Amino acid sequence: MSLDKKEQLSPVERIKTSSRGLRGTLTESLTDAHTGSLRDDDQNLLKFHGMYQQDDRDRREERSEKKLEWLYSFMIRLRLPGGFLRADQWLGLHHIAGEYSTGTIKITTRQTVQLHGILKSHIKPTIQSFNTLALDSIAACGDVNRNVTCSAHPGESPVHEEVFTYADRISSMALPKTRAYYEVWLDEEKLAEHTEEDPLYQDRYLPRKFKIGIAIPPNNDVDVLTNDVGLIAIVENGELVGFNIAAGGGLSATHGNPSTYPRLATVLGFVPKGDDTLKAVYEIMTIQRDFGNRSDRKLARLKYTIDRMTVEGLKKELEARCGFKLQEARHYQFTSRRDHYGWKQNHKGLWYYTLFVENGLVRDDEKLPLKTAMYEIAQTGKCNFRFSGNQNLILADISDSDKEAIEDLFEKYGLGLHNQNNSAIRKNSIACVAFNTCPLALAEAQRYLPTLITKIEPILEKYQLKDDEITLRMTGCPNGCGRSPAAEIGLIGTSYGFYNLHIGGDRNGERLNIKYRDSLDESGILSELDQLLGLYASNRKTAETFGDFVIREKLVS
Amino acid sequence: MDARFKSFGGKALLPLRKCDVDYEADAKEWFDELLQILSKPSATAAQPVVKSTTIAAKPAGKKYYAAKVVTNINLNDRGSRKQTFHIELGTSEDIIYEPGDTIGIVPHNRAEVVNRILSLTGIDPNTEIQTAKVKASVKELLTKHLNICYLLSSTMKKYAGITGHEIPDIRMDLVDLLRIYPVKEASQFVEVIKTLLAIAPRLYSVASSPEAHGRQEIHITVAKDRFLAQDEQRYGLCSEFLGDLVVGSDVSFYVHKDKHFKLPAPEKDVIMIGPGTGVAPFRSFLAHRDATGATGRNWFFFGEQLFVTDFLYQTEIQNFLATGVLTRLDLAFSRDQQEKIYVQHRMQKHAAELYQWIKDGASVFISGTKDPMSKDVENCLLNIFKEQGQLNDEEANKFLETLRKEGRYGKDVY
Ligand SMILES: Cc1cc2nc3c(=O)[nH]c(=O)nc-3n(C[C@H](O)[C@H](O)[C@H](O)COP(=O)(O)OP(=O)(O)OC[C@H]3O[C@@H](n4cnc5c(N)ncnc54)[C@H](O)[C@@H]3O)c2cc1C
Ligand code: HEM
Ligand code: SF4
Repeated sequence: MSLDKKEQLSPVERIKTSSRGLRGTLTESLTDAHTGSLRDDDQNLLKFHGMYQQDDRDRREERSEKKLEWLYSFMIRLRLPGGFLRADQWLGLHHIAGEYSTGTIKITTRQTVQLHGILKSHIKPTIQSFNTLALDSIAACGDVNRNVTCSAHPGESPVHEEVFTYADRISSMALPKTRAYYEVWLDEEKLAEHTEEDPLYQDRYLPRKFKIGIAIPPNNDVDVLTNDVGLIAIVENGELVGFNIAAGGGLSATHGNPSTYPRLATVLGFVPKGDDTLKAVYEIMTIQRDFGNRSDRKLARLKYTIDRMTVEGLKKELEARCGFKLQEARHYQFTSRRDHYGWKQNHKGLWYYTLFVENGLVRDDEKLPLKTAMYEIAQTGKCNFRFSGNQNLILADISDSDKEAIEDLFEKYGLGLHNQNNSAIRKNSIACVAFNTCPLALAEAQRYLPTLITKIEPILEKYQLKDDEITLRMTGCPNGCGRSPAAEIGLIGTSYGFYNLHIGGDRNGERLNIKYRDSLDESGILSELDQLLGLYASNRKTAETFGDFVIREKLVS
Repeated sequence: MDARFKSFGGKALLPLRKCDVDYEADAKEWFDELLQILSKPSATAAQPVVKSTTIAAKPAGKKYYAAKVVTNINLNDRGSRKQTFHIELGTSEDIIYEPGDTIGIVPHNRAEVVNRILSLTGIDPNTEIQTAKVKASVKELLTKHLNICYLLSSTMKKYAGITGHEIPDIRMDLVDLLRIYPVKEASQFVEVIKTLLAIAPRLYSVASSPEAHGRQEIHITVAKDRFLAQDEQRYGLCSEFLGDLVVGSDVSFYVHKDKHFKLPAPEKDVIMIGPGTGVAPFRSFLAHRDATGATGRNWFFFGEQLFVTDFLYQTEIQNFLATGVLTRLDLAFSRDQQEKIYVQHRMQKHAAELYQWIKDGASVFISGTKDPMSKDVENCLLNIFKEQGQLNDEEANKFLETLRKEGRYGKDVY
């Protein structure tokens, strides 16, 4: 049923199949001393190794005038299923960031960390250093399964530990089989001339990126329905029994291309825990591999495949491939999608502290020496580090007797106050990277949202809404890396300084927002929000969220 | 030269004898004959024709072009320890030059230094003074004609004589001299002015090619010269002057021909070693070979401190590489890693191929700083000859000498 004829394949398809297991000419590209860039095809392959080539867009013009090429550098993203690091790994990450990158550790919306600004000549040393910490970046980007996300907070459910193992197992199951990563970056000797067999990815990999997330209701902190495959843990009588499996989520769209759209995953049914869960996830990937659109990358995500073959069609194919039927979806309910800041104790008595990290940027700035503080906390060796899907940091697994030592350090660096001092809207906001490194950015996001929020806060104050946990997300383009379509207020860049305003998403990630106004500048955004929030403050029902309010009032439809 | 002599009415003592590469035997014979003729007392020595020259200010024979600065950009990126200016000069007449030539520019002294001198001496800036070569106001003399920087010890002595100060045998700038050992009055300073030498022109290798960039434009690559004097960071006069020139400024320059730094025939291979501003003549060579479709291979060795900020003309060099004009490129960025890597390390690394290129007829050119770069590079070449050609010291030197004589080894070093 594959629709693609050979001659219609997108150029990336040729790059993948002729890459000899993702090797391409990466080694040669690295030795091209005259440029900080990789050869064109290798730039594509590099993604499968967890890196992106970028350049400092602020510096393009000036560098060109100086007859220098653009300032190329590389972003590396770790593969951290469920977002977990030991204290010693954090220390190592801290040093690597300082030595080879801009120094900032960026927590992403997929519970991993990225380092930016790595020069070509520093890629290998960076990866080699990560390797000594037993960390890698395999398949963190590219047309493969990306970092598997999982509800972050172990304190929120006794089954967390068990569910968390699924993130790891799925991640391992969906790793490409090629040894290319070890050969290219870690100088592993190539044992044979043949390319490894890969029953899952074959030689063509997936048509497009593939994301898997696991949520433990009632919290949807991972935004599970925005994934290609979402697993919703079903707990009965305090035991994990299995997962509702959802498919077809994905938020990206392209301005002016009506055949592209954001979509939330559709719940297909229930699968018991164990091998059946893994099998179902695996076979959804093989279906996408075989049926996905390989000629138009803009229409290649699983969501379009499903809408082409219909949900029923997908389910039939999946059941045929699995050799078992999906059961009726079980009942679940999401009641929040946020991180619960501050201290929390789990059923075993261990302590967890969730710290707000604005835009996920761990660095020292005038307000807060966050990076230094985290370093010193890691040095105590008394906690682990977890990352949430909201780009925050959880200091995890702290014993009762160690809690005080950690609190002393909070005191020293003013971290406790930091959580309190930030407004609810700031703590429920997300921005993508955008300028100056994202090549697709049309407008600012992470560099600008904090300032914009500072201007929104007085409006909320005016309407006594400052404790309202409204979700606000901004992205520099409609690709939605900061999950802007799944927020109560979404700001999506259209051109430099201008944003489409979307409203009407629900608070828990089960309804997308809708475009309300086109291309607003800052004053336009502020006056529209002033008006909407004023209406919300005076006309809302008790406990009604902003997103639900604008839908009920039919402000958008 | 023979034709030129004839045109001036010269008479040949001996008929012209043309030699090629293998000239030694012919030359010896010719010299012997010449010595015989000259040793005869009755030699028909012609009366020297002395043509009086009227252009007093400018050294005879130098043609000065009036130009405007068309472009002046610092090629080094932010964060670099260096400043290297790419300067394009435009003229309204055709400039007669070739790749491998240099141009001479007389810098102006810095306005604030001149003003400082005027106020230290109290002289009226408009006082007209006649020096050995020019007549102009004091201010103009001090700005455009006379050297006031790092005076020679002979000038220092004359100063001591005029002012009557006891001055140790050192060199310093006139402004410092005036500060420490002041002149008594303005008239004494007039005496001093008459002892000052002319500002020497500085030479800059041409970085453009008439074939590629047109004949009414010439490019140079100027590194801002930094040095410490009296524990103070100072800058070289001409390089600072040029670096500060804004687009539209007037500059004059002359072309200085360099016969020993010329591209070989189009089909011959060329090896170019030019770290730092040494890139300048090779930008000219490559542009020329590109524009004229020369078929010979080109191999360029470049070096600087940092890849990211100091890769001079990077995008142009990448284009030469992409279009195949540049056959090989080897780079050495000394501070990108722990151990210092320089161009000679890259040459050594490719010793066998380098030697083969030379054996196959390639010319070798070195451009850039004399010390220590050009010496290290030359030693490296000699080493390569010894290793690859199984030569001893003497043979290696001889081989280099042969290349030089054949016009296949040229240096543009400073
Ligand atoms: C054939 C040839 C080609 C050349 N090509 C190039 C080229 O392509 N690009 C380029 O940048 N340069 C080139 N040069 C060098 C250039 O001509 C100049 O020498 C250079 O720019 C420095 O000149 P300046 O006037 O800036 O420095 P100057 O003022 O002449 O100073 C030069 C040096 O003198 C000493 N000095 C000066 N004043 C003092 C003081 N008060 N106390 C102590 N020491 C002092 C310092 O060591 C200083 O580094 C070339 C030279 C030659 C001969
Ligand atoms: C009246 C006779 C001569 C005049 C006026 C004269 C003039 C010059 C001049 C002006 C140059 C410099 C060229 C330049 O740098 O561009 C030069 C270089 C040279 N001349 Fe003569 N020359 C004369 C005779 C000779 C003779 C007899 C020889 C011996 C064969 C000779 C050998 C050379 C050589 C080898 C150079 C190159 C030196 C170098 O490496 O730079 N010249 N001559
Ligand atoms: S949403 Fe767009 S601008 Fe933002 S990081 Fe993703 S691609 Fe870049």
